[in-house]
Amino acid sequence: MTPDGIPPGSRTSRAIIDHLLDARGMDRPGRALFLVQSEGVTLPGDLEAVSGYVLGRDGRVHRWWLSWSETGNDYELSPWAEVPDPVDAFGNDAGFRDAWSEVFGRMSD
Amino acid sequence: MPPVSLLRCLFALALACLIGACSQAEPGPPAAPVAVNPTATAAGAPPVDVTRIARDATWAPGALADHFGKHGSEGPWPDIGAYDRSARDTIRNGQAFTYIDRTANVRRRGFYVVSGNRFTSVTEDLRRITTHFRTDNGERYVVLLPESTYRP
Repeated sequence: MTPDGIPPGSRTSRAIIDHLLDARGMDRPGRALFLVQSEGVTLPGDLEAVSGYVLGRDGRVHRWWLSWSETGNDYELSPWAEVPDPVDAFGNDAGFRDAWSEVFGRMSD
Repeated sequence: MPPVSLLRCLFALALACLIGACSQAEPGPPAAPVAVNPTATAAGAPPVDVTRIARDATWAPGALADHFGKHGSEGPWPDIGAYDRSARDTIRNGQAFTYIDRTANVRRRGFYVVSGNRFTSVTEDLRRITTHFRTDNGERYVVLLPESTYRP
């Protein structure tokens, strides 16, 4: 945390997240993040830990957490886990519906 | 026979009363009347029913376990249930405010308890708890969140 209390590098956090999602084969365009949350924990390099979900072009949703791997000495998305039945799980979430619209077009009610 | 306009007025009045009655008939434990925490009115934001949020807001699938895994060591939370209760207690007893999440660039509703340095965030529609943790630098964290309406 910096002296003024603002974790710096939030824009960079997003860039790292995008890079790590690319590495997992989640192509862009064709994916959308939702329920993204800054977690108030500063990682090496003054990046803030971030959690969230990603909807892929295949309709699958994974939850992820931008973390620091002590063993790999690098950033990673961990945990990384698929959420089953995402439409049932998130159908009422405005963020998911926006993500769905971004990837597939407007979601039917 | 009354004029049609009078009948329309009576119908509208009856409908308004019915809607009002329905909106007040929320399910919940009778022993716990809904109480709006006076501190739950964020500056420039409509008041929120913190009792209802604390009771009804949910974690997204997998989020509670992930958050306890990452933040659990920060507080006196021996298990995941204690962590969840702390998140909800922070909603009930904290100062409510709004801010912009700097990574998501979306508005969130925050709750902060000074005494325990506990912070909980929920989505703008108040349906999802998005995180709960103890901040690195106390109250300054919530004061300095983008567009924070928190007042020390």
